[in-house]
Amino acid sequence: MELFQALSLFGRRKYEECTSICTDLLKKNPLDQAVWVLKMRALTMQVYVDDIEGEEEGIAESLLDTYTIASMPRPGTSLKNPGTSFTGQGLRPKTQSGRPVTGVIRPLTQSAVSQTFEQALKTPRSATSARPITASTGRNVRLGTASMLTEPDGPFIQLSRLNITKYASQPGIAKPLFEYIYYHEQDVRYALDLAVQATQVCQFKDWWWKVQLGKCYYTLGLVRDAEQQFKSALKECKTIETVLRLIRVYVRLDQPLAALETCKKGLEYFSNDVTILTEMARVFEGLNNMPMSVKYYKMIVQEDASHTEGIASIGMHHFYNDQPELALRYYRRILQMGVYNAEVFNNLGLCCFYSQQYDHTVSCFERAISLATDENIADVWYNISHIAICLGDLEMADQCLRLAIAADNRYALAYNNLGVLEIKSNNVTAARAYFHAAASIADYSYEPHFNSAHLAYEVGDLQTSYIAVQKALSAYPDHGDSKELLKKLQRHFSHI
Amino acid sequence: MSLFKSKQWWRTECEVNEKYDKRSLLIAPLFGVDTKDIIIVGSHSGYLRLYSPSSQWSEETKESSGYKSTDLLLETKLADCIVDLKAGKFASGSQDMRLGVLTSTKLIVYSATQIQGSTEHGDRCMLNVAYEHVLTRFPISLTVGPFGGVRSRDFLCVQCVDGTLLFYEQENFTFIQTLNKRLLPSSLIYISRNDVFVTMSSDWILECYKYQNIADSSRSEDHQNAIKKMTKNIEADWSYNLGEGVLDMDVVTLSSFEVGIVILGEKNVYCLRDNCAVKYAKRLEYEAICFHPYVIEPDGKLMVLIATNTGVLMIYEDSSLKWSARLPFVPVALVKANFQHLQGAIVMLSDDGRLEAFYLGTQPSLFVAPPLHRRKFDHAEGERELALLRKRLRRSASFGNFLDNARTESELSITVRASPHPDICNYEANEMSDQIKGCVACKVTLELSSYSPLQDVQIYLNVSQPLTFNQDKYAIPNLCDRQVLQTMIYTNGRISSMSSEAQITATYGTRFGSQRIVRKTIQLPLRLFLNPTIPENTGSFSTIVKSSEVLVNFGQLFPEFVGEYSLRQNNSALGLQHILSGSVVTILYGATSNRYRILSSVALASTLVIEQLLLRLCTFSSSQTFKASISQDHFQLVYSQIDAHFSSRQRVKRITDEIVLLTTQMRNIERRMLWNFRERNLLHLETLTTLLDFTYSSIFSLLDELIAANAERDQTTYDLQCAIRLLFLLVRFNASDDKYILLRSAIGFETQLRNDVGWEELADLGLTTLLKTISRKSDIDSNRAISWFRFETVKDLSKLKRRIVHAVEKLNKDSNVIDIES
Repeated sequence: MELFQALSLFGRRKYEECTSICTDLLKKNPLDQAVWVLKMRALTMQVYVDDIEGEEEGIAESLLDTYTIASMPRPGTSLKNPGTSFTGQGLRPKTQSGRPVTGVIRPLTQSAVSQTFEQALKTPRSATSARPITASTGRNVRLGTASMLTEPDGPFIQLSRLNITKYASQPGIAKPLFEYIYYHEQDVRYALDLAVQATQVCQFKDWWWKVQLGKCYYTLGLVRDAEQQFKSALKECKTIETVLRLIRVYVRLDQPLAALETCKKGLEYFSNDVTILTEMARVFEGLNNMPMSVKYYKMIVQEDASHTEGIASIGMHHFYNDQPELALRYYRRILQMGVYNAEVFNNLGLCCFYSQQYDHTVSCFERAISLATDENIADVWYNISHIAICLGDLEMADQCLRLAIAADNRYALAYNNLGVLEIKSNNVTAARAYFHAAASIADYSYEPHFNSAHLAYEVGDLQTSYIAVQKALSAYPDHGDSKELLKKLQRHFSHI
Repeated sequence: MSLFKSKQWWRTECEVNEKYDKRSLLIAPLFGVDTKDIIIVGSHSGYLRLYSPSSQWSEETKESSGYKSTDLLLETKLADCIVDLKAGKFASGSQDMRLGVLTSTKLIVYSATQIQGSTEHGDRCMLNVAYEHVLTRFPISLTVGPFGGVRSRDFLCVQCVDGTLLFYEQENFTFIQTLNKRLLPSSLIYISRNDVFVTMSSDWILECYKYQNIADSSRSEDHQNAIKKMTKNIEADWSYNLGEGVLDMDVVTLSSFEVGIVILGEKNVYCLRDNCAVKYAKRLEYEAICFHPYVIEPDGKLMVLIATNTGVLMIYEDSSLKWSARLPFVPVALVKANFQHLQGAIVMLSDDGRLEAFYLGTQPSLFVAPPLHRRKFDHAEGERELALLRKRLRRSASFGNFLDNARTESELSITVRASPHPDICNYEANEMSDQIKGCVACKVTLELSSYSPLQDVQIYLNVSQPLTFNQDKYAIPNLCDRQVLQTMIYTNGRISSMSSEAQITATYGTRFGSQRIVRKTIQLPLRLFLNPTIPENTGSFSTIVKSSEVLVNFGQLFPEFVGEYSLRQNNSALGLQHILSGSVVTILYGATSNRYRILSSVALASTLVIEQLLLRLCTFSSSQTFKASISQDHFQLVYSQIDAHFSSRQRVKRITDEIVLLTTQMRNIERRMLWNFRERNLLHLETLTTLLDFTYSSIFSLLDELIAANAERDQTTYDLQCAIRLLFLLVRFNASDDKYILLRSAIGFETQLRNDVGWEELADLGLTTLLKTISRKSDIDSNRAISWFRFETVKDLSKLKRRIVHAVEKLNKDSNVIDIES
């Protein structure tokens, strides 16, 4: 009866109650394997996180990466050097690595891939949450501590006392046990040990074990080994999960073309699968190829009309393509779907403003401010300052920007815009200081460089202007105004 | 995430205190195929309920009429627990629908009859037991179907908790079979078209068994033997490695020649053909809880309803999402049903017994943002307030220049790194190599970077005495972008160092001609000054630092010394030896009394150690938690240093006076000699020469003495500063910041080399002023001209000493300095 109840609770996803019944049963009969497995499964499912989506590349991975071979890849073959293949949308803000800002926060957008050590260390997202992005192994350990809290009297299974060889030969136990070790205990080393022995027991014929081996290798940073395992697993059985993991391997290896190829092959078997399409759209976005990315996002939305990432990405594409009315419709749909946060209202406010629905703008931003957290309040104020600038209320703009800086004192764009405002009030020294501050914080955006170059040119400081304009061009090679300024400077220098 | 809400058609609540799961709900036309569907609900507490929803649409109210009490046809307690419910043609010789109920101990088949109009309010329903089988094991599920391809009869198969299958051909028990590799039971379905069973093994492989094979392997033996032969394996017909647990399975007929097995896994939904090929799979981005597949008849479209555990119903056609609707609760069972007045309603049951029939409808689940808590906003008033605030803002001091820090940082940023592992200097190429050979040295790297070019950048490096820089001045005429400077810092001499700080000052001119200064203080590695050694408990000079929190151990405090023998041997004491002077300072760790005790035989040697200890403690907890007691010893130390300093000053003064006297004498002798020459009087010349020689030699001996005295004065100056610094370190934790700064400015300055006005005079003056400002009564005198007092004898010093004690005591008390000043 108790076992029946436990099974029923497990089926209803009431894992906590299920675990407690199993614990009682195990107290009566500690050697009941069925109950033991059930408890293991319940504990695993309780803390299960979809690890395909949850990964984050840390400093250690991005810098101590031994797989990068070509530092100057051919155009369009690397995610680390985008912008070489397609001309991106010039006005779309970029992250530190030069990738365009994405529609939603998702794995690998938080930590930018950086070329230098210095840049990598400067990456924390804001002043308020300077969580260092450590190696993913370190992160796993931290996630693992959460699972310990679920068991008041010590760990359920003492990994060090586990006879892995014995359980590896029992496939019915080995698989749940692996998941328990991998997801609940977060001990990749033991999990790998188990997987290696289990795959030997079934004579390398079970694709499932190959995927698990690949997962372990991937977590341990042995990406090439993971790739082999995933490929071998795919030969035996096509599953969406394996395809997704292989795609992520290629993204990690910075081989976007191979990733796209995998996506296409996967789509042959799982036509119109949303998760594969999402990966594809993301890769294209990473390559700065917006038309293709949006095409795939549109396919996603046709397949799954409530896909937040798809809707948000299409909305953002329209916004930066000067179609705020269309963007407004997408963001409104996200709001209707029940997403209720500062970002949505912020975007709605901007769209309303640019599509000239001024009456909604104010209320949207009011809501955005009331919902904003410490992390995103700076963005909201920054956007309000834009509205104020467009309305001509420079004093309000100035104050909004100051509020943005007060919330996040490394908000480079706010410094930059404050500088522009100072120029308007003929305060050249202050403007210069603001531009320099912005440039020293955000070396990757061209605006402060260009502004300071322009300002220096105006006051006759040609040397500074020359240095700054070169920096602007290295951040955004196709910036027309910078090129023109550089030409002027070169003419000046040749006269001298 | 959904735009629409489900529209309620009929709802009721079964008993709330009972539990239900996915097998507790059955929809069947129990009273004949042509009549409407009946909802049958069996709870885990053993209650069986039959409902016949009679709800209908009323045009007046524009809504359905809902639940009526006559809708409940029957409510009865059958057993302890109802595990599963199935309907089928279970009675032999009858084509009528019978209800099979699987309870915890029995399998019971009921025939339901409805007596028309027997009671005043309508029909009456009765359940009669047709037959029952007693079960020996706890059952988990019931599978029914025309096993073996029989016509118009349904057989029953009970799955037990341990995975055993019991087969019944209606009233008769036929055989028992155990599937191998079973730990936990899983869903079992029967596909009548192929006459196969599909189930999931414990290693997450989907297996398909032909009924014929199962039957053959078991039926060949009689019943007793079959139990013995339970271990005999039957081979699966085909298997498919699914790789994840299964929540539920169902079989649908896609067309006359195609059957689909629909599987709801933990992460995916699969649709398999009956030859184990995947028709499609769909990865779910949410946690599914239950599902119901069905086929839309004319064109054989497979639809799947999936309920998520956030209470949203997703409707897929193949793998694409067609509709999603928000449900009022999270269901555990979901079925499609045809009722009297509504075809194709969806019935769902929650795990606490809420039962609802609904249709999809297009009622929007509009998300209404909660209103901002805001009264009617008065714009005119708001504008006035804004104007007022802006005016105030413009007047405020910080307006406009809040960027100062960012500005100087952005103009010239200095990063200094001292290599953490100083070692014995062995740089032969250095021109000062003779001097510094064998000294401990440490490399310091300065990195200057600026955005715009800066002119005339000058860098000064400043350290206290035993430390010397290889090169302490740099001049860069034009700094562009970035420049890296490297210098060595090394220790020299025989005195223990006072502080591990180094100060870097950079001055530069901007293009607009203004001069700017950037100052930076860094901490040099402790290894430069100290070596760990065996702790000595004999030190006479002790300082105690108390903490109100748990003490931090030495391994955390002095990580650079971890692993050396002193830390390994004894955890409660740490000995540190000054490399230059060799004096040992010992830190004792009192875990019970929550305090550190610093012992040293040479008082001044402990300054550096205490400084470092306090500095590092502050990084572990706030400085508020520490208390350092200032004992008489510390004052005595300061006094003795003042005395020594003063006496050395006096000595220098005395020698200088004597030299002045002797030089006057020499001048007189020379004048006398010249006069004698002019008079051509050589009579006294001999004596004068002797006198001259004598004077000359005594001047020289005095000059030698002066050099020694000056050196001694330098030494005492240094010692005095060291003692004062120690005093400051201890005062730091007892006084508030502003008071500390006051005291520091009064006596904490560096002594200038001047003969008439020394440290004592200035300190005295400073203290007098300090005491005056602190004490309340001297308000009147505060604008009296301040004159300084010249110290002549040792006696005068007692006043100064008193003042120091006075000032320190004053500061320890909680008198508010700021108050008095204003």
